[in-house]
Amino acid sequence: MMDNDISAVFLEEASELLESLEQGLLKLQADPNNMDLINAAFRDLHTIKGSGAMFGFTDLAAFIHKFETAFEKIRSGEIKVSASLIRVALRAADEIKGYLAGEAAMTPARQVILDDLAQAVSPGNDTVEPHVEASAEQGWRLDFRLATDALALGARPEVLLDELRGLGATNLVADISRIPALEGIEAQACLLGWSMDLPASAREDDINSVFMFHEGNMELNLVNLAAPAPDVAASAVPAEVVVTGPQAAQQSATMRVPAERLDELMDQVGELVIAEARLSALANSSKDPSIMAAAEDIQRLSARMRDTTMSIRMVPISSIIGRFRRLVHDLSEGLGKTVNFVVTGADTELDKTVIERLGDPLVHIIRNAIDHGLETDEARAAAGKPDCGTIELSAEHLGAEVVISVKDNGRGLDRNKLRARAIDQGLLTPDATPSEAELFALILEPGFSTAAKVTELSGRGVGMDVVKRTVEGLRGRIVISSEPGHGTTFTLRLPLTLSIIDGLLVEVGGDRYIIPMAAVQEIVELPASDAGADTTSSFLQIRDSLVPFLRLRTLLDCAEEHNTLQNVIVVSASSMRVGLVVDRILGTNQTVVKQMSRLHAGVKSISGATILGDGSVALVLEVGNLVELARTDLRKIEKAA
Amino acid sequence: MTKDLNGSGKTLTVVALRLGERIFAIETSAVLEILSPIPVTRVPHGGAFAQGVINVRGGVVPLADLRVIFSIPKRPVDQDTRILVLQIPIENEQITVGITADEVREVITIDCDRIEPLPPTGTIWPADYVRGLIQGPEGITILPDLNNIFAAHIATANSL
Repeated sequence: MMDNDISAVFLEEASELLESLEQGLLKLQADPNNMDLINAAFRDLHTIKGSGAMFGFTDLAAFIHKFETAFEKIRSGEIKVSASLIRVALRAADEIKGYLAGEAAMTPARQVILDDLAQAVSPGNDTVEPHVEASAEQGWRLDFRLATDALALGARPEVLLDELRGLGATNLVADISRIPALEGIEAQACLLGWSMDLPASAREDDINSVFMFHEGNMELNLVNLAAPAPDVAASAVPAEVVVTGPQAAQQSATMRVPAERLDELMDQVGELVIAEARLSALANSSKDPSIMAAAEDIQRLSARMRDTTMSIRMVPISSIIGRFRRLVHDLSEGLGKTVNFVVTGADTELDKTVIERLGDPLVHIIRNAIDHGLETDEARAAAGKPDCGTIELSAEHLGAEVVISVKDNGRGLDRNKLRARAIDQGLLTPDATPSEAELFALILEPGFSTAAKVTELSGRGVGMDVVKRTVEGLRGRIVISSEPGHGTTFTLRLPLTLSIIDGLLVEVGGDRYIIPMAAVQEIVELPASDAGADTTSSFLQIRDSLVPFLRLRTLLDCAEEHNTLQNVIVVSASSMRVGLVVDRILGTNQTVVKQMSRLHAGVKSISGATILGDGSVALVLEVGNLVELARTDLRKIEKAA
Repeated sequence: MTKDLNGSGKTLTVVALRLGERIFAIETSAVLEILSPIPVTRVPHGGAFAQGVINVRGGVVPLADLRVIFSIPKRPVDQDTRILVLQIPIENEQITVGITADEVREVITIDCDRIEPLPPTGTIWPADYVRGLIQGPEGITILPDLNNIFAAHIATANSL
């Protein structure tokens, strides 16, 4: 059956809602009177409850129901949001996670949370008179009938009826008028209707929200007995949608697609692009204008299709930042350090798979920064620093790279302690004189920890060596910088490892290579005077700036022979402009980047390979790493200049 | 050194190929296909063993050279040169690699009982890289241990 699929959809949806709930609660802490936030949190709760009950998570629904009851008091304005309330609400949200993971029982711990929650919203000093609905006394008359295919789609009328009973429904009568003779009955069809009375204390929104999953697809007639009876003809039409305009709009504008299908689509677009390259090569050699024109059309279409497919896979980094906010909140409470968490560039987009794999390393870096990097509030005060520790997460696109940095304003890395520890661990010989960057990089080595004691928080989970491995697995690099007393910055540089890129096809020493277009800034001719120089690199005057250049022939181990007309491709890499000297520029093309096998995992200057129109393989240069490789040389030139 | 191949009356179906003057035998179950020479793209800094990559049915496959491991001099590509595409399990993962052969001879079935261990002394080959030897009328056939050879290379590649 499709049951498994459906509950998988529910679980996925519920965890997203839970995430949104958690975010909402955290925002509420900062902005406790924001009614929109309160309503959004309430809606999240209600939706999880409703669909949970529908998919048989009855214990979960019961738990959330109580959570919701407490929250109702906030929504009605009876109780104000307080920090203690948020704290217990977050704990309750964690329990919902537990329920979703299959721990269904009402444990004593859960009961305690519910009690705390009830306690937190029990009338305190800021109690406000509860609102009384204007439509007093007589109450409501409700008739409803689900769509005939509702049962087949998983609706459970008994759950709806239970909820209505919870609102105080009485005089419940089933309407069997539409049930046909026995031979005409379809077992799956929902042919019953129900009518009932509801007390005046039930709010119209609450009644309507019972049916939130059936809106627009059912008959619903709700009459306020206190108000003059509405026109009968008008009330017989299918129910109007009542709640949450924005949410409803969102649902129609987006669609859930399994990730594998996107991967599949991407693979096929990749094949298409390769086939297109072959077609273009053939069309060009045929010299037939009509075939060339058709090939050009296909080239344009496939480029657009590639861009669209890729954009589908792009996710803003904000999608994982929620996790970090929660982490910062918990750590800040647990360690008694006030932490200000600042995010810039949250809308920087990255490929879905890259984002997913970055989550854990970033969690670890942030955890480390708060646990080891930041001082306690007292120590900060003593050192005369601003009382509040800050963790700054920023993300931006820089050339062909995405740069993500985590910066704290804590105590910074202790060079002497690092050094002593590294010698202790045998990572450094006592007489070694590593550069600062080399010394800092040691904290990424397996088993290295400068913390005198491993706290509960930093002790669990991945180590910094896993952070390094994950980032390198994405062909990225980590750079650590630190200033004593002023803090530490972890900078992650990741290539946009997308599977299809725009590439510049060049020839070096008879071999063909691809340089990612995103990294290319400009192309100039190499002056004849520099063509035969013996040095690995030197400077080039471009307009009014000096740009160091590297000879790819040397970097790529080509037989050393120069032709006279070489080109320099100026790229931006590792936050500098560098020229790369190539023999010839062959053109631009769409490049399907295939991963290099593990046999070549050590070749850092190559990010992948692609198949050209003629069937041969060209390697894709990893410009950042290539420049890094020659960096020591570049430094020398910079100094000389 | 014959490891899993000892006795038991089993047989092994292998592709016999020539590298320099040596005959090597590779289990047919590991061979995906045998290709005539195709253009090879050099991988700078790839090392002597895994110098290049080739296009095999739209996939990019590394091309390795067993002659480097067994200290056999390279010779230019001629009409006998072939590329064998192999699938080798490394750490629960199948990796596809190509190897160059100076000539592919035949598919033969050998008795596992005939496989002898590598003599402990007097050979220039790393013992880990040889599963065993077979004495035949035409000389010695070497059964290379491809898993060990590639696993060792990947380990060094990763530590770079």
